Amino acid sequence: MRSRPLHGYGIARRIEQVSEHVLQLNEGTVYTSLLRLQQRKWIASAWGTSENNRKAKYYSITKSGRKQLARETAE
Amino acid sequence: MTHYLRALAAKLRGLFGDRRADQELDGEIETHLRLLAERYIRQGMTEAEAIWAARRQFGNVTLLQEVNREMRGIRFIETVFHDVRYGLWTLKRNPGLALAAVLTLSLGIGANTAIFSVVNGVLLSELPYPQPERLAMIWPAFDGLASYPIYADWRDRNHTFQGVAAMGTMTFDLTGEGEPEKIRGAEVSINFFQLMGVNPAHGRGFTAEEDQPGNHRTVILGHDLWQRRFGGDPGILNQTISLNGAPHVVVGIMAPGFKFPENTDMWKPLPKRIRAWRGGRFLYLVGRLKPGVTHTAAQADLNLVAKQVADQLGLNDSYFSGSGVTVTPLLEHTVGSIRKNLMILFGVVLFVLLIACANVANLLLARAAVRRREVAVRAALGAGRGRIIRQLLTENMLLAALGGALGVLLAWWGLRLLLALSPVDIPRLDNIRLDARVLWFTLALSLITGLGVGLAPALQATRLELNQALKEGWSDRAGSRRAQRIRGVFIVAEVALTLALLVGAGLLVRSFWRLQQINLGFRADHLLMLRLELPNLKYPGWQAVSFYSLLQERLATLPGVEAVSATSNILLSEDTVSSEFTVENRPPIDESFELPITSVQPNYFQTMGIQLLRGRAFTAQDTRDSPKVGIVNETFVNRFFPSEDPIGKRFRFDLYRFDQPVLAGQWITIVGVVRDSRRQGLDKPVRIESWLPHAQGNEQGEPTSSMEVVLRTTGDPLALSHAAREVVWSLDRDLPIPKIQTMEQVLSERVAMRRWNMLLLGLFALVALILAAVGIYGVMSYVVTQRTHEIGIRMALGARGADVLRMVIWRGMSLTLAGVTLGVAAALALTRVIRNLLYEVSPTDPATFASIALLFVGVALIASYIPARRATKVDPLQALRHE
Repeated sequence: MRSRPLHGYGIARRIEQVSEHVLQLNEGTVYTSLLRLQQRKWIASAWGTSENNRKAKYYSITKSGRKQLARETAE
Repeated sequence: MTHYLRALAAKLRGLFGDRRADQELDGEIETHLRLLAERYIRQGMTEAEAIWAARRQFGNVTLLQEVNREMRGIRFIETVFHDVRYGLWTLKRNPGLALAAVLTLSLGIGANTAIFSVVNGVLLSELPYPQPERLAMIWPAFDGLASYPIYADWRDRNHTFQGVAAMGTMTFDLTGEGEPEKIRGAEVSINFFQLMGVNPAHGRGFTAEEDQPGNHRTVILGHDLWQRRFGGDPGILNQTISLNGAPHVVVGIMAPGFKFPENTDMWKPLPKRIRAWRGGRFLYLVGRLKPGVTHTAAQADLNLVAKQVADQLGLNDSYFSGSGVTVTPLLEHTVGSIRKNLMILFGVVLFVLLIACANVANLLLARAAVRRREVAVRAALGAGRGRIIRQLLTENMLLAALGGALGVLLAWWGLRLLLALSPVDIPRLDNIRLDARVLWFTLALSLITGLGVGLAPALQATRLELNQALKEGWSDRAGSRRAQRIRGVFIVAEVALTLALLVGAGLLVRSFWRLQQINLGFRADHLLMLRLELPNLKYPGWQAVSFYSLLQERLATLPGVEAVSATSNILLSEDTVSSEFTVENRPPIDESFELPITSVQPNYFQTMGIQLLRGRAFTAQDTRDSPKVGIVNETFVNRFFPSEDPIGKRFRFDLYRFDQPVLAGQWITIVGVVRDSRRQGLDKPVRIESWLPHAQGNEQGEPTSSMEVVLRTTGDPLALSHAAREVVWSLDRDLPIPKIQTMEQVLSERVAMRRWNMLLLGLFALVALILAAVGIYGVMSYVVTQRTHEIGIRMALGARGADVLRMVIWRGMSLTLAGVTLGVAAALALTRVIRNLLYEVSPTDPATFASIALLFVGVALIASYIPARRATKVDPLQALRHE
């Protein structure tokens, strides 16, 4: 998430990747987390077009999100 | 912290942008699902397989939408609206249950609202004076009254009061135009009104002018008196009225509602002549504390002052220094006597509410079982447990709110009944109303009630194994153990509470019945009583005796009058003149033991219907000049002459006069003995009594000027009151008649408080009994319905109707017996609280306990018999086919 904006599906795949392909059920809950982060202004979202030309909502980290991330990784 | 604020701001925005956000999320989900499915297709699945796999991977879509919606907005409000709508719909679908629940709750909430409005009006609401919490009554040792010098010392030397005022209560004869009238008045220090923080509505208060010698002939009228006597005419200001035969100038008129101290109708300045009289203790003291000073601190301060004064003046008797002071808040003084009584009633209605709650909770539990399938479906469709609990709670809140609304109506109506029945001696009755505070109380109570009755059923309904509930359908068998246990607990608790209430009510009823059985010792019917207080100035010395003789003669000629007499002691009252005494040839009597003295006219015992046991009654020949004679009662004879003829024996009173040694009165010869009667009050034990002829004077040998004239009538005594009054006024047109009433009215007044307590407690206990019976019936009916299948099998296997009957009744009775046992234990602990409301009944009276328990078992038997009977009618074939 640090690098470039991703849509929900992409984020779910990334998580899958990071957690070393452990099959993740209920991946829809990603959207709940995204909403929570968005409400705290740690991420922002914008509509864009996906690789296969679909309209999708892209999430990217904000400045205050970066700060929070730095704080949390420092701990 | 800031991120919480941000989230909140986002939520607030979400309130408005809800629909668009919903659509966006839907779009994202759709894309996500499609991308997942495409991935699975790439991995080699068929399209149908892939879509199915994608859905499984993604999880519960509805739940996600719900949760996100929840997070986005303050969806709460919207949810509540939705839940309320849905709740109303479910209630409409099941109107019988809704009605039962609402009615039950309204009884509980209504009773609480009504009693709380009494508690609020009498105990909680502030007195109608500025900063009333700073007002305090000051009670010197001995009898709580102060003399003027004591008052002045304390007023001038204390450090804790902003001011202290003195009040002497007395009655005044108001004469002039219209009927003469006895007015309750108070002589007050001139700072009184200012200290209380009230000003006359018209005219002025008392000023330093009135403190000058000879200037105390002014008066301030109370609002009621002004309206009643002077038609509310402000022109009465600066006019002269006649009080106790002397002209007084009206300088002020108070606003409505001000009656302090104790139903006072007029106020006068304290006369100057009492200023130096240290022994003349007849003044009440009221003080206004300095801000922030406690009552305890003030009390310590005044005790110090009293001690200083005593030391300085060399007073070694607290009668003259007043040391040993108590300071009590004015509100406490006003309502302290009734507090315990009201708190008991409040406790009782809380019990009733708890019982109502248990009933409704049981109803809802039963329904929750039936709704398991509905709940299961909603859970399967993605509703979270919290969401479902909230929905169910909302329904219950709705029930409670409806119950509360109906309860307020019930309370409004009940309160009028309550006040109509209430005895006159409840203070601040006019302050009782359904005001905002009461309504807030009711609202809070309704919410708590809704939560209370709804929580257990809601938790129960949502604690489920989805699959099982869906498969199982309507019946609740497997998961019902727990629910049944909860229902059992509710019934047991309800029975126990009801039993405790019933026992309390039973004890009061028994006390009241005992009171009604009391042998008064006189005939209370057909008696009319007129209280007369002759002014000493107008009837000096023995003129009072001739006045009453003449009055007796005149009244006796009235048609419908059988006999006439008069007595110096008010009947059925503890306000009694009594004195220390000596019986001839008997050892000296303990100091605290006094003999009541009643002066009566000839014919007294015959008029009252008191039986003469020995000797003779008084006659017109017992005069000032004849030998002193007296009559005593049985108790007196039993005490002093148990085995001798009392006739001809002598006794005398020991006379105390201020600043003089004890004097022995003249010997009085006993000429008659009468049967014991309850002269001092219905529920007071009979004590020794003595009667003296009015014509021979009282124990001091002085005539009594205040008498209660009694008429025995042939017809309705009240019908004679007008004629009797006219006779009095034909002798003295300025003589007020402060009280005219029948003996039966007095008797009824004396038991009014007890009757009120009994009626209220009895009523609430009855409501509780009905609720408990309905509760048992409801649960047993439910059990029978649930077990129809099982009963059918049993019957098919050869169980007889009697077996089924026994089985069902035993279930109901085992719960009842458990409740009764608990209830008896609770009652044993609780009835002690009402000990002093009882009369000759022990708070643990076994007869009452036993009969109430039996009554209850009987009611429970009927309540479980009816459903059990229905169980025996089960047709095995049909029961087995059922489901």
